[in-house]
Amino acid sequence: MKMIKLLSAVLLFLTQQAFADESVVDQEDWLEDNGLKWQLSVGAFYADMALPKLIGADNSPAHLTLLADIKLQYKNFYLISYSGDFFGGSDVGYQFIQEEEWGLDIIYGSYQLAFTETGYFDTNDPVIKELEGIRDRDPDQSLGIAYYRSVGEYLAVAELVYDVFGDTNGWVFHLEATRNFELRNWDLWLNFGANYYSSNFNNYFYGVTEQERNDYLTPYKPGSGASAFVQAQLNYPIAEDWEFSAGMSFLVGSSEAKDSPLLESNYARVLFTGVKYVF
Amino acid sequence: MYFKLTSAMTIGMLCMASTAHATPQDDRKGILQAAPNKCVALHKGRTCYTDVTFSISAPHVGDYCIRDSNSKKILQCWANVSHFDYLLAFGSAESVSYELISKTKRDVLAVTTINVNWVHKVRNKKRRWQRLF
Repeated sequence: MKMIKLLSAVLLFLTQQAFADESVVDQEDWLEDNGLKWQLSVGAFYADMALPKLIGADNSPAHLTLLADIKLQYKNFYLISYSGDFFGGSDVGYQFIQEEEWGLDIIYGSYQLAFTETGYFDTNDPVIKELEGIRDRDPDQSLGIAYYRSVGEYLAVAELVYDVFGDTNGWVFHLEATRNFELRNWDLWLNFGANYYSSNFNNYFYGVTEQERNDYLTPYKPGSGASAFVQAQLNYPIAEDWEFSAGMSFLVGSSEAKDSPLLESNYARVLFTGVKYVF
Repeated sequence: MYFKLTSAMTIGMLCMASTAHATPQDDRKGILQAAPNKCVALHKGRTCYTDVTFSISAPHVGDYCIRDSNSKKILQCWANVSHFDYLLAFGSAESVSYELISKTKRDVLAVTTINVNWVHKVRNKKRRWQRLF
C-alpha cells in the first residue's frame, strides 16, 4: 500500500510538470491573471448543527461561531477554507484542464469527520466512557481527481479520491450537482449529491476492532457505505465588502454507519445565518 | 489589499483632478445628483440592480435630457422645467455615467456616475460540498 501512495505522489508530480507550461497559456483568460490572488473574510455566524451522534459525546458544537476564511489562487493552484457556515472544511486543488463546458482538477482534502475517545471536538475534554479505548480516527488525507461539467442549468462534479496520505487505505467516490439562481442582487444556490465510501474507508471510521471492545462497544465491520446530501445557500451583498448568508445542509448516511456501535444516528444537519466582511 | 491600494490611488488621483478643475465643477455642483450612487453586487461581472433617483436642479427653466455618457442613448427628456426627479431602474455589471444635457444647446450641464462594486474579488470555485478538514 505504501508503494501505491508513493507512486501516486510521483505520478502527480510528473503530470504537473508535464502540463505546467501548457496550462498557464490555456487558462490565462479564466484565471484573470497568473499572479497570486487572495481574499480574507471574517464574520460571525449563528449555526445550529448536529453531527452523526457518537455514543455518549457532545454532538452539537457552540451556536455562535466566528469565521476567518481565506481564498488563495496562484497560477492553477487554489486553497479555499471554510468555517462558520456548513460543516467547515477546505478545498485544495490544482486546475489541470479547463474547457468551456468541462474541467479537471487534482484535489486534496478530507471526506470524513475525525474523532477520538473524547468525541468530535476538543481533545482536551475528558474521555467519554462509552468511547474509552478506541484508537484515534484521524482525518483522511485523500488525493484524487475532480471532473466538472455543465449539464443544462446545472454544474455536475464527480470526484474519485484515494486516501494517499492518511491511514484508511480507502477511497471515496463523490457526485454532486449545483444550480445557481440569480434573483436581482440575491444569489441562491441549491446543491445535492452523494458519497460512496469503500470498505476500508468505512471500516476505519465506523468499524470496531476486538481491541476496542468495552462495555458499550462490540466488534463491528461495516463494509462499504454511502451518504447523500442536500443543501442550499442564500447570499446578499449588504454593502461594499459586507455579505449576508443563510443556508442549510442535511446529510444522511447509509445503514452500515447507523449500525455501528459508535453511532447513535446516521444524519447530520446545519442551519446557519451570518454576516461577513470581505477584505 | 491590492484592491484597497488601487482604490486609494484612484481616489487620490481623482481628488487631485477635482482640485485642478475646481471652478467649473463648483458651478455645476448640485445640478445633477444620484442616490444611491453606488451599487454592490456579489461577484465581479455580475449585473448589479438598484433603483436610482436622479435629482435635477437646473439653473434655468428649459428643456433637458438625461443620457448615458458612454452610449449617448437618451433615457428621458423634460420640457420647460428646472427642478425635477427621475427614477431609474439601474442594472449594469459596470459603473455607468449619466449626463444632464440642455436639449436645445446640446451642452453637457452635469455628469454623475453610478459606481458598481463587488463583495468578492476572487472567483469562487464552483464546487459546493465542503471537504471536511
